[in-house]
Amino acid sequence: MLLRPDWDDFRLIGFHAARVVAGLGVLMLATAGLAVLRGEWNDATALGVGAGLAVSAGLTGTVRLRSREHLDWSHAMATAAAAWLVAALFGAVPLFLSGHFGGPLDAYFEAFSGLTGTGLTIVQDLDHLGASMNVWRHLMHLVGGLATVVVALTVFTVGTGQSGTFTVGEARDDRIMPNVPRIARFVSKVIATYGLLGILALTLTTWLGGLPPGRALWHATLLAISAVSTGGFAPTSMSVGFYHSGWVELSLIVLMIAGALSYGLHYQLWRGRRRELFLHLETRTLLGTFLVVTGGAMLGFGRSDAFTDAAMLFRKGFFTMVSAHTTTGLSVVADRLVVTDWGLLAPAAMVGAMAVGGMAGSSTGGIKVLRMGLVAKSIVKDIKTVLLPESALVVETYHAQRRQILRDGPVRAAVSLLLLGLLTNMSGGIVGMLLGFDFTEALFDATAATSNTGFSLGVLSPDAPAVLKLVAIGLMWFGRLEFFAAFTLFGYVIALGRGRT
Amino acid sequence: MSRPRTTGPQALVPWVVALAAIAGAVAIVGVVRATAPLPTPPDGLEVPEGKAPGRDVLNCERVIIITPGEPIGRLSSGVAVECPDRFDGQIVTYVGEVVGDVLRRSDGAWVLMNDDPYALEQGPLDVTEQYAGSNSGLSVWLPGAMADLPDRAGNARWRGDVLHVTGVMLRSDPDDGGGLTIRATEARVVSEEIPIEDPVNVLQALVAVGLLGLAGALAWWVRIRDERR
Repeated sequence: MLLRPDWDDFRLIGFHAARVVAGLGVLMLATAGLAVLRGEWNDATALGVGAGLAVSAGLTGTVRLRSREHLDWSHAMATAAAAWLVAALFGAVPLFLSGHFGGPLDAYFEAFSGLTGTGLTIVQDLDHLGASMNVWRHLMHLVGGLATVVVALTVFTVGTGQSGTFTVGEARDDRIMPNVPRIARFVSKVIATYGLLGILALTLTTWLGGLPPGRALWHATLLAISAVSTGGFAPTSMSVGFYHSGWVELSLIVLMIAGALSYGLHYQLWRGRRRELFLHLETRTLLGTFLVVTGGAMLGFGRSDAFTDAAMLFRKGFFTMVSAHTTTGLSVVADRLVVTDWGLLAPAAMVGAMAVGGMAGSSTGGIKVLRMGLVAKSIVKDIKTVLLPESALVVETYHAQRRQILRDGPVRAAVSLLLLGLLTNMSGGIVGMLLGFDFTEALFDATAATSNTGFSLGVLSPDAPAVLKLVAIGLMWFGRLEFFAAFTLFGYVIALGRGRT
Repeated sequence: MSRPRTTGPQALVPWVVALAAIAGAVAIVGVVRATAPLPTPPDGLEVPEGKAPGRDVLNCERVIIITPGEPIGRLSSGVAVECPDRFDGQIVTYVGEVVGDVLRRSDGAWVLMNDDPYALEQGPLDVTEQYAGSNSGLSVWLPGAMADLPDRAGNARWRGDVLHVTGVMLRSDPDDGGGLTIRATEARVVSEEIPIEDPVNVLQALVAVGLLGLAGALAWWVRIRDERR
């Protein structure tokens, strides 16, 4: 039975969404300050308009909707779903005013892609875009990545096939709010640590690669933000291919992998429990799926004769597969080369890698390796049940922060998400095909959007039909919210009309 | 769900108000954008080489005719990316604007050269305000003294030097870890760097000041209100 939501439910959702908008406005204001320092006056005022609107709307919302009501799980899910939609609206304001987007929808697409850590871009003439506006694109990745991890570790731990919360043996707290600041602090600390190390490494490597020190720092900062938050935006239109440096690529590989690890696992590692890295179902599954998709891609590279030595396979092939599996989307070659030069197997492996994604409790997208691991374990259990005598009791276990018995609930949730992910990817591909694009290319871009990855074969471009951009925004939203949070928001709206008081 | 109070469609009223406020904000932003002053395109933006060759290729086998070992004329980045195998190892000419930064190494320099409309026939978007899609370009290695040719790379304030290079296109350059590159054997500057003047949008500045003032006043009021409580 659906309960009809009341004013207090919406008030609570609006209150927390307004706080998000106000926070985004403050960040925009800081970016406007950077633009002033650089003398980029039109970008400064564009960011000022965005900041003024966001802070005013956010503060008005927090005052008018202030609530001391208890934030339960469904509220939190609906808040996450609403906050991404609304925050992108304000994040898009300076982008639209920059004049580098074909219209409001394009700017909204870009902001949504930034805040969901997708990295698909439809900016026009990126190489002549102002530096501060480029910083704003990347900062959206940073806050989006942080928000994703916090939401994943607090809100998505319920009923979505994500086992365990933040610490070993921690009982789930039904109150969300006490957990959020604590988890946000830890996640910020990890992101800041990896980010600063990344900036240091990338400044050094890009400087050695030929950039002047100041420019090296600027490029390094944006690249590190993009990699550690598994975003996908890059400072130039050539993405990482711009730098022609194996050391830059290696630094980014490390950062992307760090960003793809669950922050629950980071927490264990920070507490010195290194064994977790080898025992955890997620790391084992991630290694397994990575070996399978990368093996497939390498076979494809061999068949297409694209790369002829180990250095090429590592720098272009391995990097691309890490970027795809971590759902980052930073690229070392023009994305179109994936279909024009790499044969069929390598792009197919990329689609597989993007669809699977990284670890639950990280900023990556995709179905997540934990769920793949649970489904695989369940299949093994079923096979054992068939093979063993009828009287045998088959118990399958897995390690996720502690040894756990495989139960039907998490497996069912994992299978649901797996099916939803596959159906969504397929639906996006079919929509692209109906709009006149090649189905395989549309499927590639749809998978990238759903798994919040920045690769595109050109289907999602500034020239794409508006309906396709809207569909892509929907795919990014569903993917980021792991479907159920979006369903919760829909549920609230449906319950308004049909629910019982 | 918490205890029922205001239920049904009435609960949507604040959201309708919020949407109306957002619509108003969108209208403000739209007006500001629509009234942005158009810059005056600087002199010398035209590129002597004219329009870049087509960027769309439907069938590499049919469209391209190659005589091995002979220069095959001007290549576009779009065609190179669509048909990398056909041009692999061929001598090509390529024209493009140097953008981003010049990556100077001990024995030469890497440059990204765009040949999209913003780089060549039309000029940067901030100058013309005419949309023509995304950027596209190729990586070019300028060996030895050629590395000193580009003075400035294009960015928000400059249309960078436009170079005309002749060189060998490599589908998987072994010295670049497998990237698609052109190894230049000859290069010359066909158009010098040009500054981009972006006139200040006064209306946008006024709206920004007004909205930031409103935000500041609200923040101050909220603080005072909270302190009194």
